[in-house]
Amino acid sequence: MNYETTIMAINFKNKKLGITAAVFVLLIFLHSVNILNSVEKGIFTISAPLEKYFYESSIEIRKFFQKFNYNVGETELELLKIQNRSLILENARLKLVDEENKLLKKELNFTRSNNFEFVSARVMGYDALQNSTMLIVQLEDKNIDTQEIKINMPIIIEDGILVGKVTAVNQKQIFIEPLTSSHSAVAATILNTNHTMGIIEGELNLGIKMNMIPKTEKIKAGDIIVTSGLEADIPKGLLIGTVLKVSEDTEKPFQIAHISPLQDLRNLSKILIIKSY
Amino acid sequence: MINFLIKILLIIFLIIIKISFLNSLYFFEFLNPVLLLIIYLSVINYKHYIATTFFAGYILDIYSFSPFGMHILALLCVALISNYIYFNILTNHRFIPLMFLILISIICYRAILLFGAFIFSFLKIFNLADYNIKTTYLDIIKESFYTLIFVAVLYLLIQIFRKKILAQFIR
Repeated sequence: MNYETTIMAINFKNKKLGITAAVFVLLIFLHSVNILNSVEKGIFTISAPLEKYFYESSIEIRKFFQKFNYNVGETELELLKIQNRSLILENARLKLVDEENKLLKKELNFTRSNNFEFVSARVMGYDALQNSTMLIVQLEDKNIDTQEIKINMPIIIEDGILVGKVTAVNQKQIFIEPLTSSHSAVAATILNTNHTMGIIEGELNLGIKMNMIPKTEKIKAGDIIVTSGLEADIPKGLLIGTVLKVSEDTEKPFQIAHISPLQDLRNLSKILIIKSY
Repeated sequence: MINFLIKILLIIFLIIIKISFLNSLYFFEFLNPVLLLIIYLSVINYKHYIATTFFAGYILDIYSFSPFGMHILALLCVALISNYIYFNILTNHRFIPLMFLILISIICYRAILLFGAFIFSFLKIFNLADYNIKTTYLDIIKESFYTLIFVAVLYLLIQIFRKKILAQFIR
């Protein structure tokens, strides 16, 4: 009796596993032939307002704690000194960026009247794959079809600060990869005396660097990095960041420029996608 | 039926919370509430836990850049494995064995995703470079650590406020 019960239990489990496997294969098939498109579009449409609300809230919370961390454990006087120092530094940096921005615009003739076709979009969240660096964005203009957006289109904010590239396009969502992502690579130029060219790469979602710079090139902290225009989809002259420090590669005859992005890539909200230029 | 629909809505809500809210905050970005819910449903032997797992995996797949099916496969395997371990291997169902089960489930989940990435990369469907392997091993350790802390705090709160749920874990 026990033996028969065991056999029946094993048969039932095998049947259950078989049904599970069959449903799995069926689901993949239905998705690949786009039968479930309308369901997916419906889910995206319904969840979009909630995603937008939660993402904006999380950005506000991050900004709040970033400010709070500077003040923890300090006396009031030290607090004020630190705040004063950081405000002075911030002010100097902004002035510098503003002057350099004016100079850059003059040199590169980058103005709003440039022939860029923009599409505005909003960041909704991160890729569901655990610890992924990809961001999910949704177009704000309902009249534009998501399929018009192509892979490798550049993503910018404000007056031409490059923040990433389009990586994938689904039914209603676009996946973008920020510049700090480990597998991000953009052709760039350092605005030094030699206009050194190279590829900037992301560093574990924390920073950006340019490797393989010959030691003969003269680079210093504060030099501005812009796109070089060597990539087909990315126009020349988009701001990337400034050189934070230069270190030497001990094993090879090259130096590495560590770059500070002009925008905190973890606080992105409203972005522009360059469709054509 | 209503119970099942509530679970479905809860899964959608948790996924939205995960991708839009938790992923932007330090510490919480390492938590996976959907995985924890699936583990919970499998250990309480919820009648429709397989169907719920399918649905959760499907929603995660459509919100992900990775090839379709990876999350479904990973969650299904974790649900079946955790159900088997809980009812066939663990001799008692208290706090420490539960923590052990969660740790095993997280490692299985990430291992299956990594394995899936390799297979899809071999079939030229997915670019393995997009998976960010460099940080995967460290992320698994961080995720395990933070998840166990989170579950421990949650368990403590539940123990204080709702003794009924505790009975589920004591056999």
